[in-house]
Amino acid sequence: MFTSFLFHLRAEGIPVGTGEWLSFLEALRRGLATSLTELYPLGRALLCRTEADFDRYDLAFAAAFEGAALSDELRSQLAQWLERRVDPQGERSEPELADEELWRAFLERLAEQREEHNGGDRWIGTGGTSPFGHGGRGARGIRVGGSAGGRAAVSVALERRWESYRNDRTLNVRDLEVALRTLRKLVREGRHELDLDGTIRKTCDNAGEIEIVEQRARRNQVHLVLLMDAGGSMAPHHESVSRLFSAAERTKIFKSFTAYSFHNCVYGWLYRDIEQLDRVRAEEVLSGLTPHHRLIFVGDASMAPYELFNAFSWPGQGTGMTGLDWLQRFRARCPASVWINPDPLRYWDHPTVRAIEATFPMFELTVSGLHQAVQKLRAPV
Amino acid sequence: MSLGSQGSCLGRPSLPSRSLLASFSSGEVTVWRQVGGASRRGPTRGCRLYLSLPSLLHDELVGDGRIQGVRLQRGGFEALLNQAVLDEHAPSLYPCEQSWRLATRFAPVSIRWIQDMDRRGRPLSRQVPLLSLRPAALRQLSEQWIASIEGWRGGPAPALRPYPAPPTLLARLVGRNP
Repeated sequence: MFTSFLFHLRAEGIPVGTGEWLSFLEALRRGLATSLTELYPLGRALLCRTEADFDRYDLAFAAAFEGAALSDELRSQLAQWLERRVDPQGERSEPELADEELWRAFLERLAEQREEHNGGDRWIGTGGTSPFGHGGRGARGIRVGGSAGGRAAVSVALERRWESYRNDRTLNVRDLEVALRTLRKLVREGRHELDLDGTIRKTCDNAGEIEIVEQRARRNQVHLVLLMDAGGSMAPHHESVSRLFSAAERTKIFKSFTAYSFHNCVYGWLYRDIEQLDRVRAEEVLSGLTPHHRLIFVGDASMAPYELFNAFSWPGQGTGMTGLDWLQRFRARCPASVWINPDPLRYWDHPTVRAIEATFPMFELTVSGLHQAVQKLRAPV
Repeated sequence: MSLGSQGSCLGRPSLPSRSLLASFSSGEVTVWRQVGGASRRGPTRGCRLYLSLPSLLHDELVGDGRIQGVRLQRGGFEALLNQAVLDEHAPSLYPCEQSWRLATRFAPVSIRWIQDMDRRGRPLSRQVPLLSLRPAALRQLSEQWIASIEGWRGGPAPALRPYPAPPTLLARLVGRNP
């Protein structure tokens, strides 16, 4: 049972290492969790490295233990048996059962038991030294009834209260802002301001006589250019791309922020407003790029191959260059550029996506994807 | 329909002209492929489609390979041509060589012009296209566009006629910017 839990955890993408798993088994061996309700927080504390893993842990926990939960009928019957608490009796015993054996024994006992049984050392009930039930003196076992219900932890897991902590989910505006705020290249060129550290240092050097030190405020040198695919297959992603746009516009930390739209790929024109056909020549945008510009392309990169590989143009856009030529030119002009793809990774096995991925570093439109993209944009070029 | 791809002297083509010749009816185009056996051109992950049967026989077939005639819907054939990227760098089509390299690396279909031959294997003064399909294009072809497949058991090769493709497409296929 617990081995399958490990597989569920890994299947959800939680990087559970051998050391963590052995710690978890050791905790079980010491009897730190005697019910699913106790197992849930124990496992989460030992097996999750960050709160970003909590939601995946919930999913894995529910998948691993939902089948082990008791049926309503069985639970109510057990609850009746366990209502009457019996004083512990008998000597404390140490059942020599491994964790998986314990669960197997519990399920077998559950199948065999036909009536209420309290005290003693075998059946599920209260008191006694049986490892199953509650209120007894068993050193370790599986708690049933009392304050812990067999299904409670699974229910908690299924609530998925930690979903918003995941770092692989689609972004909200706040997440985006936080990620974008790290995209900075600060240079001292603003107005003069007090340098507190410098003032203290100089004052100390002056034996306490105050000497005010000033320095220029730091300003972000980054010009951000957002180029967004619009329409067609991007329609399902409209909301998430809009959020990215809103976040970039709201952040206000960039020296300048410009946004353009295109359809599928950049050809001759970029649109400031694609619905109003307010457009500017791509050549003009290209010539305005400097080493301080950072380009973020947003698009699913999926299109008919001829749109990217052959000299294709929408009416009025003919330039004789392929879409790939245009992208190469943007990349050459502005090496600090990335492509954010709102499609999940499993859809990236497409010729045009692969070709664009070979041109620009491509990242998913998720919290971790955007953080990686910003790291890439911050790296010296 | 024939387009000289290279320079000419006194109005005559000095090198083989490139001709989009095919055996076709009002609704279908027949292309040829080798199945099984070794190939002079080496193994491929996808599929090579010849428009000229003698070219296939003399260019690729060795040993116990079998020949299949694949009848494609014309729409599918033209879709293949539309997706095709020329496998030689044509600066007028791809000003940036890097773009062309990427295109040939990822495009689902590439086109190579090969010497056409007669039934006895003698070279003709023209080049015909050889289409190489990657697995994705082959899958699309098999799911949507194949009308029928028949094994070829010898006999005369069907006559080739100029295929009426749009001039811009033809120009692009032979390496000219339309």
